Amino acid sequence: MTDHPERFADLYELFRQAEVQLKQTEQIDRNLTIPAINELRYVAFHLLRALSEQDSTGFDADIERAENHAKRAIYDATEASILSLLEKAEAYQSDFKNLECTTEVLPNYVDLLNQLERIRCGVSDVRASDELYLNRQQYYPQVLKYIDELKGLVATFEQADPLIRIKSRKRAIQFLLTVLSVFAAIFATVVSIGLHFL
Amino acid sequence: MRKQLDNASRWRLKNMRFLLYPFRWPEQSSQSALIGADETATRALVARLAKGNVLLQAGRYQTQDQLNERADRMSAHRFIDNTHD
Repeated sequence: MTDHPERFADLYELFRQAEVQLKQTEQIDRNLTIPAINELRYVAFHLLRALSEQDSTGFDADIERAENHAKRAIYDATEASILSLLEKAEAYQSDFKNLECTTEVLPNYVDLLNQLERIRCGVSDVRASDELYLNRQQYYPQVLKYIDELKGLVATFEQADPLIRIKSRKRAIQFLLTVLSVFAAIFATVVSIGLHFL
Repeated sequence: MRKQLDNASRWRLKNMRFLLYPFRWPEQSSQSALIGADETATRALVARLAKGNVLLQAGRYQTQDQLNERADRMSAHRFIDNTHD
């Protein structure tokens, strides 16, 4: 066991990262991601099997399998966070799309959408084929990079939302006042004409 | 004439939507609205038996199937239409 401390150090680092991502997903998505937890169960299984192995070949194979499961746990937890953030961005996009003042508050709105689309494609491409998805552990560094970027994008939308609402409300009130004043003018004209003929 | 009436009604609808948007009630996410009755019963059972994790006790967890559904839905969405995809 103590002949391969570096293998355990690597596995420990991956497991720790998986724990961090799981906790982050709990905070972002407010859901426990069962697939990621299952992967950590398999890590434990392969680790214990490796520890009970008599020869180094079996030990290496089991440690490698444990590492792959830990990487998959990182991927699954991170993917859940990414999906949750993309859904929030989608909800904002749906609210903003018919409003003129969106581009006044967010002049780079189109760039933000392009970034979101790039991240969405990055995650969807892995799921595009069964083979890629079964070997998703190799993509875990890529999805980790997406998380910080996505958090920034969703935070931008969250900050812009009240400003867009305030501008929309002002425009709505101006529009209503304009319509009311036009009706009032027409009414006044009709009344004055009516009084004139009386 | 019909085309003008259609254009006028689209204009009214567009302006009505922007009139209503500032006064909308923020949407509350409701887990129970998204899952069926059987699933709700399962989550209630998990919540009753779970100890330790508050999310499990609240019935807030997602399975592989639910994750796949969300991923499929997001795959179908486009934030921006790139015609040269």
